[in-house]
Amino acid sequence: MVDSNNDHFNKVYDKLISVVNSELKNLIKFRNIGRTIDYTNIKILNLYIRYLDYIKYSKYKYFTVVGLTDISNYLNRL
Amino acid sequence: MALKQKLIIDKELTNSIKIIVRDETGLYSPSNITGYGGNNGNAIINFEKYIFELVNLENNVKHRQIQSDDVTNIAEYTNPTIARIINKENVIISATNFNLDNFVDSLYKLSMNVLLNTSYNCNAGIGTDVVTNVVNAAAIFAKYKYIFAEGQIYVIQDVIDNNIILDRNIVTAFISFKPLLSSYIYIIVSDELNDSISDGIANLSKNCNNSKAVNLLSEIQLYYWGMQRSLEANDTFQAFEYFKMAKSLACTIHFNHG
Repeated sequence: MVDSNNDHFNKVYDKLISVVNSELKNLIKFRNIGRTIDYTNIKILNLYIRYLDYIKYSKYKYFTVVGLTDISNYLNRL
Repeated sequence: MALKQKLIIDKELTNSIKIIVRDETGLYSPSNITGYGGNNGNAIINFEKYIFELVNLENNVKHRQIQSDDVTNIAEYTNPTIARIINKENVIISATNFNLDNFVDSLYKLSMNVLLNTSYNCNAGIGTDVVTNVVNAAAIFAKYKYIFAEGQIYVIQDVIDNNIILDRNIVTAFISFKPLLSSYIYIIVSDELNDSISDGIANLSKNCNNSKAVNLLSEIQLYYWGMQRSLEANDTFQAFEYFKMAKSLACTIHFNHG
């Protein structure tokens, strides 16, 4: 699926920041209490960061993002 | 509107070797109503020195760089001149100025203090936080929040009659002080952390079956990204929490090399 909408992109990017902040705070808590960390989400979030950062900081005026809705759905599930 | 100093750090050019800052306040004008001079007072002709202070908030080590036009004082820096700093020229705060190879990774408070050449008489002894016999103390407090005396910067907390209450006890007695215009920002120096991450990634190929190293690097990168976004959002202390966690994990990367 291809989305071409700056507002949608910005909303998903803001959501990404919010989700990563929440995940990082949980990670710090888990480390403090010695709980086992599930790295699956960490790796996926890292990949999404790389993908969305590349688009956000690219020279292109309009965002044409394959999979933006899928990323948004994933972030909403976390 | 009152004077509002704008201390800007050039993030692109700043690293652990040198920190690049500039005073973006500018001169008062109808299009810059928060600038120096004009209706805001503090005419630039009264500017005596710029005192830049860099404090490592992990160990409270303080570095001070004074910019002035006094070419006879070798302890002070004259390039750029006061006029050029007011005109928004970059000031380089270099580690070598403090006989350091580099600034260590940490959270720093960087303050820019403009020392004015107006001197006020007073009485101030060691071991107390009160400056007495200050004429027009209330008027001074209305205009300034910081004073400079005997090499020390104090914050004015309150004024009672002709007495000024400071934020801490007086270190060296003084009989006069000068006011300061002051502003500050927080910055994180993270060059060592960047090197650790690069080192870890570069060495992954040597132990491609080491899933622990991959997991660890993923986690560190996530902290690093969170740190940068928190800095952009001016949430410095959240950024520092992520930085510290990334740094502590980065120290273990070397143990995961094949």
